Amino acid sequence: MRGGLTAVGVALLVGLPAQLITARVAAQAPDTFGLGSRSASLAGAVTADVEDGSANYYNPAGLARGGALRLGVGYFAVHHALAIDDVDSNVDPVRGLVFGMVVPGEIAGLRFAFGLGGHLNDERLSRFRSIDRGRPRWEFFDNRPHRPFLAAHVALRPWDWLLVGGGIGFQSTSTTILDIRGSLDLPRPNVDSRLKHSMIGDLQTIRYPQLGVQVVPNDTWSFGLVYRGELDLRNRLFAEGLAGITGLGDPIPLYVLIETASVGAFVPQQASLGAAFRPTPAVRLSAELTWIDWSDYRSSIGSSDVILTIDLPPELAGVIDVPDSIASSRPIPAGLHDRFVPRVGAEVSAIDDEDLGLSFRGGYYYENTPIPEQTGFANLVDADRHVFSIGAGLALRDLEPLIDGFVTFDAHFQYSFLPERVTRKSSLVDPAGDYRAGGHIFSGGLTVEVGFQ
Amino acid sequence: MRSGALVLVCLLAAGCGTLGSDGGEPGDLPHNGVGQFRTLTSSETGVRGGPPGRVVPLPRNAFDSGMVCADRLFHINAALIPDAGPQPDGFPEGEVDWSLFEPRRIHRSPPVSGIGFGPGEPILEAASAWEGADLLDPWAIVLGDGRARLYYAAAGGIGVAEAPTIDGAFTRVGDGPITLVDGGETPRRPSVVPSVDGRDLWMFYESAGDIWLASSADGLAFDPVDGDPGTAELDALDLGAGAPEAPAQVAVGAPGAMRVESPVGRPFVRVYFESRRSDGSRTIALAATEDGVRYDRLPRAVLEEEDRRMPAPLAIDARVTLLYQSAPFLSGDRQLRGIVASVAPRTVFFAAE
Repeated sequence: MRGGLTAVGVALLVGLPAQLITARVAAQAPDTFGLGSRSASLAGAVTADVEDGSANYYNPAGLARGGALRLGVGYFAVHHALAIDDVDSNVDPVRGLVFGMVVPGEIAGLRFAFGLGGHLNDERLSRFRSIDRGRPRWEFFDNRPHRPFLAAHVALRPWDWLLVGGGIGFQSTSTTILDIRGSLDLPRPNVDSRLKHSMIGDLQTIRYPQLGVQVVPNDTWSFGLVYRGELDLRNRLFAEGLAGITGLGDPIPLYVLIETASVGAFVPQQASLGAAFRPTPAVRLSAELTWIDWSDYRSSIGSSDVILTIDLPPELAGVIDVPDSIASSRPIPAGLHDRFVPRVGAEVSAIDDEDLGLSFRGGYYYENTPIPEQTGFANLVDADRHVFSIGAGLALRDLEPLIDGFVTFDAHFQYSFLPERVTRKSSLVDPAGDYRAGGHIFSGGLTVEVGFQ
Repeated sequence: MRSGALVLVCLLAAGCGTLGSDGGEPGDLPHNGVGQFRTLTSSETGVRGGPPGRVVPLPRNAFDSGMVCADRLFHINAALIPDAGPQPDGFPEGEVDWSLFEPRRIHRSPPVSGIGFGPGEPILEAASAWEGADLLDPWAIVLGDGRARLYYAAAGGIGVAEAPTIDGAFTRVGDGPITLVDGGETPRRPSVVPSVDGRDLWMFYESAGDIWLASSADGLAFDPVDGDPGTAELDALDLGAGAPEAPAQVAVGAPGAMRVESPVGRPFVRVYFESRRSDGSRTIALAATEDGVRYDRLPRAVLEEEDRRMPAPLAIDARVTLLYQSAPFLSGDRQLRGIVASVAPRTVFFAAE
């Protein structure tokens, strides 16, 4: 019977609807700064053995690792101190609520679990910026983290040594249609114009897959492999205006059509392979390597097409200059290359009693910039990133009669150092010119998780 | 029940921290001084009267060119002759009928606000036979020992004067013009800046619709720099033709140069100049060089306004550049020109002191 259910479960996972595999997919602030304080303090080197709510991001297979129902919630904040030519780039902070849920179960001896995890930003649910091609901006920090993360997973543990999990994340693309009609009075546009407008906004859901495996051969070693799919959030705007220009004699027909398309966010597909080692019950060491498919990157630089038609009367032909055409703009290939991110983490249990646990953690990972030197017109600003993290966790395990379970408090602090990167333009009359870019990023958070046995 | 309450308390505690702000826009951006430039307003310059962006008063005088060195504006202006007649009908648009004015002299104006200057005083006027009646196109530099050197154009070529300090009295160096290679017309509009490597002085100047370059160790004896080393003869600089959709460029002139160092420590020289086109119009163009021979040309004009002449740049800091030029305006029935200033990036605004 167990074998039959296992087969069904594996089929459910592997056969997660084909549309999930082919759909474009996601990840946001967790992609850059991590999810959950324990995992973030270990530099994200947790793919091999994660089991708390952050497994919803790091490896859904870990949801079936523990036996407790876990409800976790926390808060997380990032402060950017990034500068171009020693001038603060004013990159917005990121702050938000993180949460995770693990609901374990067992049917006929087959252990499984459901999970739900997410990150919700404070200031806005989501933000998109379509930026001029030549305008310098921190491509990976200015806009990308300002997006929610929401994912649901299921995991199975068909054998004690094997855990598999998978699920989907959710995001939304937008299409906006703006329609403007009426009359536009040139001499007194604010007073005598009569314009009506209507707008239709359509938010469409897209889904993206996440699949993971954990292998636990013994109490000392654990291995993990996870794949996160690609996310490509496209936004389209159609604006159509039909108006008569008044105030210059007979009304002059005007027609304008603007169509823009941009990628509001792109998160590349990635795979991470990690191992965790416990030389003693009180010490945990982990290492991990993440491949990120940045070479498939689509920049937030938008494309636009504009059609403008004004039927000028002959007497105004020499007075008002109407261009024959308005040049379209198209994004140019970003030319990014893939990168491999090494991660290491360590955790030491100072206290590990039946009623109390206290742990200290540290981690490091390195991200080399996938963006080539911006010698041409484009200005995707980025630099290598060294990320150091520390954290601590307190576990209260004897909470009866309040609950039959535990409460954990985890805190982390993360410091990113971006050594200054020099950009030399091939043209001496480039609008932006040469520049230096680098800085620091500080982030931290606190996560509280309640576990019910 | 108690378990639910515990979860609820944890959620509320975390939720209290989620009241956020609106967020902001990206901060100040790097800028390479290439424009577009924005002409300053009178509230920024502190100087009233036309044309917009004027930096020196005397609205009834005619100005020709100006540049700023060590916070002083060196410029050419001339007062109207008291019994001058009217300007002839059909006089070319944008031109000044200099026959109605006193001889042009070089003036030095002190700053009176952050951007504007006072009327100033004459510091040099034509006195030698080779200079003719007018002195033109002043370009001042400060030497390493504190002396000020003034290059200027006159009827017979380009002359030099020096003063002990930037505010001192200028006396001529030598008794004739500097020897320069020209294109068949008397050189005009000297613009002298340190060379890219900082060891020499480079002089850009105009002759016969071209811009030429000469180099000197002492700033007095100049050797020509061949604009096309691939040919046997000495050539003017090839600064490019500009945007193909614009009317064809038929001549260039009035160079105004500045040596800059990019934020990553790369030195180069920017040359702003007049691009004179086949339809008679003029725009201010920009080219830059690292060796004095090869130039990158900005395709579009750095100023939207036409008929701006005699550009002279001044770096405020690594991001902000001021560009002084002459601009036409009408005073009564006479066409005059004034010295105006523009700024890049356009988003920079000055508060008058």
